[in-house]
Amino acid sequence: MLLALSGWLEWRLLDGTLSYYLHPRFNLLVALTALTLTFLGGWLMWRQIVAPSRQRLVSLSVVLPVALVAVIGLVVVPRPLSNIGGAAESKSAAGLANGSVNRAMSEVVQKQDWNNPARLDTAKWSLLDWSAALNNPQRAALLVGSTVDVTGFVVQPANQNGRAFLLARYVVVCCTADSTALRLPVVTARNAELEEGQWVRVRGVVVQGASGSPGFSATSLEPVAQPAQPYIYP
Amino acid sequence: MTKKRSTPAKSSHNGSFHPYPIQPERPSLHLPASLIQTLEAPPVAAYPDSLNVDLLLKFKAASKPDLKIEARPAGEPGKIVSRALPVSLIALSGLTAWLMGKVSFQNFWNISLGLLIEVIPFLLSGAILAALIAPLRPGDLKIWKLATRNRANATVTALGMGLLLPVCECGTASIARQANRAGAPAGMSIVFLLAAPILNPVTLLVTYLAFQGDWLIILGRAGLALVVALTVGLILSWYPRPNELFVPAATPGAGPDDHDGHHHAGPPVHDRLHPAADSEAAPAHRPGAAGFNNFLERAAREFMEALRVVLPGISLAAAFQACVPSHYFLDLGQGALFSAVALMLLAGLMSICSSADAFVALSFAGLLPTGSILAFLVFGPLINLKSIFLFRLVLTWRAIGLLALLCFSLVLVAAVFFNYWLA
Repeated sequence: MLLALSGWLEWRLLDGTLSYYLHPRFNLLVALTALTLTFLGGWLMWRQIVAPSRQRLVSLSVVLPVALVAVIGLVVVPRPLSNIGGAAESKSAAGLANGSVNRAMSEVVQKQDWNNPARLDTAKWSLLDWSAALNNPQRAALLVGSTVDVTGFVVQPANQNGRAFLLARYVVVCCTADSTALRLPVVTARNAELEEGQWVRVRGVVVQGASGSPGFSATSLEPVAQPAQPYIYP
Repeated sequence: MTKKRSTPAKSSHNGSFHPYPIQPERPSLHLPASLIQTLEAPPVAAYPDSLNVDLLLKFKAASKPDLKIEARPAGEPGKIVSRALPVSLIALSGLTAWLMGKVSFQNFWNISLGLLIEVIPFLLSGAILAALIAPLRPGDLKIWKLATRNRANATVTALGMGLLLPVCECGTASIARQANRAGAPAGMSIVFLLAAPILNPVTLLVTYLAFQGDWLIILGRAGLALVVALTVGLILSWYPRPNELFVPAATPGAGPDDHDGHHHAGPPVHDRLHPAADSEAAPAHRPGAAGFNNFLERAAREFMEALRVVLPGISLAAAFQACVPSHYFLDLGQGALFSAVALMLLAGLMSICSSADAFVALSFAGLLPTGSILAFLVFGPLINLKSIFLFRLVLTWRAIGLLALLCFSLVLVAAVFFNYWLA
């Protein structure tokens, strides 16, 4: 069981899907854990081969749940958080988070030189940067017309008018238990071509909607593969 | 080993404060013969969870050396409930997520596995530390005798352990159980269980980094955790029947196989009841390769048990995360009192590791009062869906309920006080 558990952790580390669950800063810790479990399981197995003992190390009621964890870990196909689950359904229309990323957003904002908006390199901003910047109406007004080049997945709003979708991405501070979905509206004539959950790269400019809420107007929409790291890690 | 056990009054506690007083209604060295027969063939329900096999050992050694006493499993209904409850909770969590739709169900799996991967390193480190402590025979050490001499010493020792050991709440239960087996007073184990998740160096450092030197939060978190741990520890150390607070597997002298909250009949317990088998059953103190092998076996056993008990909590937390938007709590929680209650409930349900929750708490800074943020930071690591189940390694459900109630009350009062004081 220990070897199966370590195999699961090592597999996820090696195929890169550990980041579907956890911030990459934990990779080293998980690697050490997997090695320790391998050693522990290997040693106990070797002992059993060298000096077989009929005495159980633990009872079946302990082994079965651990086995269940190992089997589920190995069998369940790793998937990142699905587009909009209950945890992410919360945010306001503009998708500006009020969850576990507020601090990260304020840090992002503080890093920029707002005295000279024309010099901001907005083409390199992620959805976190944009969410942080557009969170404030004054800053949003300054950014109208700025260049946008962001990647995220498609969320079709419930009350869609056919011209806009929400570009979304999760922010994970520690593990997916603290995830928060960021969403910003994108206006495009090609909305009907897009599928729910599809990853796209959006190029365009910032616009201010009729209601005054900021969003993107897409000049180019490019379907892309899901990134190796599907979340934003502040 | 058996000779040592045959002198119960001096077991591992020297001094005025005995954490596990022998209950007068329980069998003692002076039991009548009729009761000896009762012990041999009792109705199953006559053996409560807290019946200590050591008591039988003492009794056997002193009065009936040839008497064969086998540890009996708990009553069937209790056994079925205790086994079915975790499975039912896991199934209920999965079913709830499934009923909420495909997306919620996928996210339930993702968050469950995420939490699992996150806790495994900490459970393993706790198990390794517990396995390291086990063969030390702390009861024989002068420093241990000094530490467990009275409530004050025991409390200070527990706080010191919490400050020094870099384990979050996932690792503390295994260590507390091992300390308990070595005869730690009730208050000591509880203070350690409550203090270590917050006062450990990793959590304090992360809180410092997350709040970037906001000493009100950093010292407030440490101070409030200290006060809560001490208060709850002292209150429970005066509990009239302290051994009712702990599961048999965590009582002094309990063996590593006395898991599941019950003593199982089987080689380890049997060996402890039959001196001839002691050399096989208790090789923990052997030097060299055998000692190392024992250490690894203990670590593996502790780890697997901790992983088993944490599963229901993880699945409940994942179901909550996947199905209930956290903003519902935040929208409801406004004002000095309700914001504290909302954040405490949120912290308990989210079950975020204490080494990372400071980053999550940061997001509430500016939105909610400081006292409520402190409540989130203190109550969450103490009582959450994960830790409640992990506490089962050490405590009975009654004790866990008492602990949760006391922690909730104390943290809430402190949070509301802070909210008004800082307003």
